[in-house]
Amino acid sequence: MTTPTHTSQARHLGTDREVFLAKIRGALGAKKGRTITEPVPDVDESLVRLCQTDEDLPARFADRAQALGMQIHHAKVNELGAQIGNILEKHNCKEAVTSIAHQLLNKQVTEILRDLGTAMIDHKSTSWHDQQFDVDAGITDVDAALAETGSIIISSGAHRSRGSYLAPPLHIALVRTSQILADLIDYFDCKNDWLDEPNQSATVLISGPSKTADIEGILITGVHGPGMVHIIIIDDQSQSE
Amino acid sequence: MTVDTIHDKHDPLHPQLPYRIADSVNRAMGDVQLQQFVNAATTARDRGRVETCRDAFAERYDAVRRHAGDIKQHTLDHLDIYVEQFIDSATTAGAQVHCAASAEEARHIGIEIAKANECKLCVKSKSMVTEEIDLVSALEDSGIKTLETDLGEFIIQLDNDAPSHIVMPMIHKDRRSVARAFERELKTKYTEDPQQLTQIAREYMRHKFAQADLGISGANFLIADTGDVVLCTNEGNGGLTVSTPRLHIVYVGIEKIIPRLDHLPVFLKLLARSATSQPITVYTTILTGPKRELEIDGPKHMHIILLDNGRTDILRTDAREMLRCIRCGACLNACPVYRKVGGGHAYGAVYSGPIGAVITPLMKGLHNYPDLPHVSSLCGACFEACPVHIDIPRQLINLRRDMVTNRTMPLSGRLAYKLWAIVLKRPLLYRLASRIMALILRRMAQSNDSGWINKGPGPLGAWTAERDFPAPPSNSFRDWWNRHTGGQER
Repeated sequence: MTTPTHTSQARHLGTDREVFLAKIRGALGAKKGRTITEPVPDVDESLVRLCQTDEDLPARFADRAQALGMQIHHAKVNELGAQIGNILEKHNCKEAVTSIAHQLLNKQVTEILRDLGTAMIDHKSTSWHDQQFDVDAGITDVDAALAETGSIIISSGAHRSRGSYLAPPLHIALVRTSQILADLIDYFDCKNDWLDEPNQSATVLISGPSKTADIEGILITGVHGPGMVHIIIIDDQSQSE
Repeated sequence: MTVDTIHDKHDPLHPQLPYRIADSVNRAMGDVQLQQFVNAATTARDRGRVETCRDAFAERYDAVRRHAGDIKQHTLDHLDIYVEQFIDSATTAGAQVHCAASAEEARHIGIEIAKANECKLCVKSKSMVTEEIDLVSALEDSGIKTLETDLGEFIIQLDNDAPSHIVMPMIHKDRRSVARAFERELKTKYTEDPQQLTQIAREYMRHKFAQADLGISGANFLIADTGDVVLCTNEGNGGLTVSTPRLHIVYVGIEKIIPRLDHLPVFLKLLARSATSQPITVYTTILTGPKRELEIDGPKHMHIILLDNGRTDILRTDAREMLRCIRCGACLNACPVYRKVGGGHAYGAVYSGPIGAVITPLMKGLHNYPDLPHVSSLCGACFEACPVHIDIPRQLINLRRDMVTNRTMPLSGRLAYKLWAIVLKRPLLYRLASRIMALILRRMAQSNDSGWINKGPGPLGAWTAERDFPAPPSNSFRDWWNRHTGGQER
């Protein structure tokens, strides 16, 4: 491996931090070491909250996600195999990468793919970097989902790769009903509580298939990211019989 | 300024200074097709914004805009504290933060980092700040091949053209020009089908993403208390830019900071609705430093280059509110003048439209852009569209005032305004003057087949060079009023 490490002169390039900050202070007429005396404005929920209820969140989420152009499926835990099989077959997917942080779910999906005969690409292998652009489908779980917008939220970590939900043309996301929150406000109030792993580096809110309207304003899906996003909503809240 | 001197080719965003607008406006006014493109795209987006914002916020829309503006204004009023806090928290998260006072310094830092890491191929996502500092040509000159990955920016790069809108960079181009560029530069079969053209670009760039060793992005928001960098994109190129390359450089202006992560939803809810009538962008990526030890992909090193480049000069003045701007482009879409002048190129600068008409003269000097404060009818549509409630018309008037007080305006102009002010304060004199003016103007229009006054005599020649006047009617409004109210003035 020839990954050069940073030379020491690369650490602090440009203007000295104190000089830079002094210029900002000068522009504001502020003194070094001052503190904020006025209250920092809090988010006014009465203005900004758009999902006012905690009722029927899965139905609201499904509705909004569909409006964004994502396909919605519902499954009980024991129906998951059939649902995944249908989607992969419909889009003629021969191989898939699984990037699932939830251990039980990961085990289950791995078995499903084995039964289906779908080739499994390992995102932990050294060939993943180049391989990710040739995989037919990426299957992930999520950190959380939002009823307000229909967004799914995925953090990267030791078990979830950034490429798995971006590079393949098809993304299947597994959302458990207990993970669905009402509003963006609810998520960002306690983002860290929803992380699968602490101290991770990237979280993405996905709100539809990859889109562009750069050519004459005509909407095209699947420009860089997946053109198709399927969401399977798994009911983990209803009491099973 | 170095940005302007390194260019010898014609570049509409970095022209020779001082920049006069007349030539490009005249060119645009004669280009019917260009006007149709820009008109169709901006009116549709403006209508979409109003519908989606009213749909979401109903009668609270104005209050939400004011609320977002208040949070940003608070941040700007304490920017020294928040920048320091951001540097500390981003450093704790594992990023290296660099401070750039000027465009030249910002370019230099990025190139030094890229060289130290032996980078050869850079994938870049869309960023206005990198346009502002003219980064790409500097990278290429240093031997770092750089690929714009946003579809619109990619096409513009192939055509050696310049973006003309903050959000829709190729608003001035049609599918045929894309088809020709792909055939010529990528050697693909000619097609005008947008779906196929997009597919061609997708395939081409996937290989580049796999090879690239450097990813460069901008940022939509920086979070002071967590050190997070937030990217809002629709295509997914932003996500790939921070996924495959081993090094990530963020270029961002200091005004992009907000205090806390819980403030972010306020802006996420407004940004995409104002920009593209979406409830939220397809990808909202929140980055907290580089890839962690156990993580599968992502950059090993993350550098954040904080840019001043004239921002503290704006911070110092009563135009501070301009720095609230979240680059949604809503004011461009709402502006009748932006539409009429054929989009962004006419403004002769990276930031165009109403926002550009204010910040360009502030960043680069009024004397360099003396026309821009006048490229507005002051109709107020930009103010109504702004998601962070920036009073752009007020700022334009302030700049016009500054032109008089700091003598950017020539003596003849200043004297004419003085005289005009004297007349306006005296009703009798005003009535007499306007009657004489109307007579003269009608006489001038008669000598011209169009019925318009295109050129005034003597010292008025310069003023009318950029202004055409219809001839005043023989009956003034005052006459009409008097006749219909029986001569009673009210």
